[in-house]
Amino acid sequence: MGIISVEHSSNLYWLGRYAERIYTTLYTFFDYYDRILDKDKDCYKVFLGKLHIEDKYGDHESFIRGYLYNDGVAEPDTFSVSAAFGFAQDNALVMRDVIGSESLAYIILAADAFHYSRDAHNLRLALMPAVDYLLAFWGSIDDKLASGEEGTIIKCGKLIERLDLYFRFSYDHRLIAAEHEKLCHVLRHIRKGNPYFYNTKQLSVLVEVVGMKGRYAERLDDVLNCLGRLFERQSA
Amino acid sequence: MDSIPPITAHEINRLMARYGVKFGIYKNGEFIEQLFPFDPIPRVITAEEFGYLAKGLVQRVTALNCFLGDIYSEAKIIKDGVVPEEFVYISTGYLPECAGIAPPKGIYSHISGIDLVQSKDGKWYILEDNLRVPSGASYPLIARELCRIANPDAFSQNYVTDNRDYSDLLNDTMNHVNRGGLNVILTPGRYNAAYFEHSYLAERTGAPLVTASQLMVDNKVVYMKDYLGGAARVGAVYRRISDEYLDPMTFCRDSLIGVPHIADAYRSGNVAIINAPGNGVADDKGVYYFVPKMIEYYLGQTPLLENAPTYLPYYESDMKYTLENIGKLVIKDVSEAGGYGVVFGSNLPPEKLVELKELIKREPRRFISQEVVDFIDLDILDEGGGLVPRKADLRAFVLTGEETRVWASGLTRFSRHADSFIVNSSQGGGFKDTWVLSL
Repeated sequence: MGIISVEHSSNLYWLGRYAERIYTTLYTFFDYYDRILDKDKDCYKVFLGKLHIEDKYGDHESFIRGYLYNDGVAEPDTFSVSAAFGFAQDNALVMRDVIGSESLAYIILAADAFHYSRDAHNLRLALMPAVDYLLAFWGSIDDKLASGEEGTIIKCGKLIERLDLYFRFSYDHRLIAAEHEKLCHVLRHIRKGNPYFYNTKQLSVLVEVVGMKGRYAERLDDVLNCLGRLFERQSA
Repeated sequence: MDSIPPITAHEINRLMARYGVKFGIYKNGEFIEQLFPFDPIPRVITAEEFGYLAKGLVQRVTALNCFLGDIYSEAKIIKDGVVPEEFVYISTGYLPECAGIAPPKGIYSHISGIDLVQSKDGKWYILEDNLRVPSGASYPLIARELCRIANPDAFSQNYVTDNRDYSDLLNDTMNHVNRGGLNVILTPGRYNAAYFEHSYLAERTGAPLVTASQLMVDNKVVYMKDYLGGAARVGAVYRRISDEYLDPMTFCRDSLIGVPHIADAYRSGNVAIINAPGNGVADDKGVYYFVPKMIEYYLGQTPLLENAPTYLPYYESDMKYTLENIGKLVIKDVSEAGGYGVVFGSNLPPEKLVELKELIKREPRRFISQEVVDFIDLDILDEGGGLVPRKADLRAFVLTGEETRVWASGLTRFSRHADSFIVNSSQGGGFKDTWVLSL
């Protein structure tokens, strides 16, 4: 196990978050895309509301192009999938020595596949390779960083992001409980004794909200706040 | 060599893109990352030719290390009148702060990038020594890895020396001078032109890639900071930062990418800095002229590899020759690098030649002039798949640890424009793999 600097731990954590953000938002986006096919054209507004994103798009078609590719928007949206790919790639590039060129390549391939899909008529089909590469990325990370602390940090980012999105979209409580269990498992492997980053104070709120088994909207701000601060820098 | 089975540039460049093999340039203040164009036809050097080159390169780097040790201590070569002091003490590469410092094991240039060209009669000439932070080894290193995937037949049908030992050579070099603790690679950061190289070499050697903020100096010892608040001692820093930015307490005070007090740790012998600060004095284009004399002076040997015929306007006879023959010479500004500050007299209109002559007369120390070596063209594949000849040089990498060794490969750079001699990547050049045959 190598020494991990503050900057590297932050890059790993955010790499995990952005890679997962792309994956889960794409899947969730596909659900709404599916509803749009069935003439529920305005459902995209619900999608944006869940993510606390302002509706700058005006209609479902502009939303699809804008949210995915930043097409047709005056200023690039940092919440777009395109932006998330950029952030994931930035964090992966500076972690080549830790995650390895092979893992980095899957992020690059996913980003390339995503950008190639821009001109496709059938978006779902065209986006499949990007999702496949993201899954390959996680497989590569598992293989490369199986038992190391670096792997623990990146997975911590991944699961925090997943739970954040699951809570926002009110996923089934069994799914949330399962992801919460995975997160607890990962957190148990973070070095104890000097919780410089792992903010244990936030865990009790998370446990409490997960225990509600639904009705998450009542405590949504609390749980999102707690997730965002679970892996943050404490005072030295 | 039997043959090189065909391969399209597209295939290999696609693999390069997959692994993020890029270099950055700043254009109009904006950082742009682009692929380093790769040509799949390798430069081929026979085992015999490489053996000869390696001997000459080891000889040259050994003399350059002797020169650096001498200049920063007794400066005998100046006292003995072999190198004029003007060429040393007013060189921008000379750092008075380094005088009297003995680097670990007495090695100054651990990684030397020596640029050579081969003339049409087959003779090799040294064009330039790069002893500060020479870059480029990572490109043929990863290119070989990818070519073996894209075109395995080329390797089964030929006897090519494996070049994938560069990271072992680099580790041996770092370990040899390590003062106890980690080896780290210090990068200015993500937006450096050679960031790919920094990160790839870190991956291959296992040395952590760090920025200055991840290091600290306490009681003249360098440490790498842990995210949990701890720290691990660092014994060798392979820095990819220029001297002037290395330590704001000793060199450029405005540097935000340097490590405060690292020079104190170095001065105290607690850390090795690879390459040593102050090496620029030995790869100054003016000092280049004197390297063959250094070989004779320090080693008592005849140089095995020659410089390109060079004139120093500093000397009266060379000034006369330069002014009389400026139209057929190449004039180089000694303070420039990366292919900049290079002017071919034959390309200048008469009025510009007059201006240049006046400038040389006013600032003779600032320029060298050289005969234009009509170096060989190597074939590259053009976009249509046809072969076109282009000028190419070779950067050989010489690593000095327990012994001085030449990496059996190198970076072959080529000009992408017909009639151009400028091969630098920053000016649009591409690169090839360099095969050293084993039989």
